[in-house]
Amino acid sequence: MSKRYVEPTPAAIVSLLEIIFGEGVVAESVDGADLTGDSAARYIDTNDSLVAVAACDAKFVCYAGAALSMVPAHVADEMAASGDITPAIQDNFYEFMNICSKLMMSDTSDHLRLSTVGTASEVFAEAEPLNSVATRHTFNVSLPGYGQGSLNFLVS
Amino acid sequence: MNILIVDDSAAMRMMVLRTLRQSGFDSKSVKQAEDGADALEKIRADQPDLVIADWNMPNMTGIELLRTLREEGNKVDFGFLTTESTTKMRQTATEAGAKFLVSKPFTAEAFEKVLALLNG
Repeated sequence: MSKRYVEPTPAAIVSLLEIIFGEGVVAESVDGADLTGDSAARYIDTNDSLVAVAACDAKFVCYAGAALSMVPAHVADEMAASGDITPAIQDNFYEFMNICSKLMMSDTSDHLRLSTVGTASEVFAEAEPLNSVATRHTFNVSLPGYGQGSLNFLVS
Repeated sequence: MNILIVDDSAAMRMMVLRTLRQSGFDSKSVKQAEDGADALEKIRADQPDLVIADWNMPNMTGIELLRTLREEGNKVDFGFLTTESTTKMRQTATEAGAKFLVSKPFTAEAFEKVLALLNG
């Protein structure tokens, strides 16, 4: 069965994220890792069917959300440690996940779009039927001035 | 040029504002709205020269805003800044009267190109 969507790569992640966060983004593939995370995004096709998931650990949620508004790194670290993530950072993370949809599309792939963001456990449970047709991609991603976190995809 | 940025993401509005500053625009001439309905009120009250709007927003989407403005006879220059940028969306935007559709994330160069087109 041919892939409907593009499989994210470290190079594509760096290229996309450096437009947003500036030079110095580092992305490395992690082979054989399970799909993990604290927050996750649901992506749907033109029929509103779930076709992909992206998940991040709490650190990366806070780093990406903070970097988008230039919130200091120590504030992001404190939020990640406490789990008390402000609504503004959550809104920013939603926008970040929206932009990450570009990592799974090309001019010739099918179209998908961000539907909602939720806790990883609930999104992973909903995505269970995708496991037979989707591939997992796990990355460690470092944002300049912030730090490293985990960014994972499940793509049909 | 007075510009209205319309996006439900405050961070994205700030990114657009920063990019406009880099392109030489005075930030005092740039206003913000958090969705299409908010933008419609602001445009009716204080006509801008250019509206840069996200496509997907709560309350009133970008395309609904553009269509409402045109129905009211408002010919303000209007462009989209959106993550989704399918051929169909570009066609819909053009047919509704949009001057450009820039894909998120965007570079300062991409913005300068469309602004140059408007000024040219």
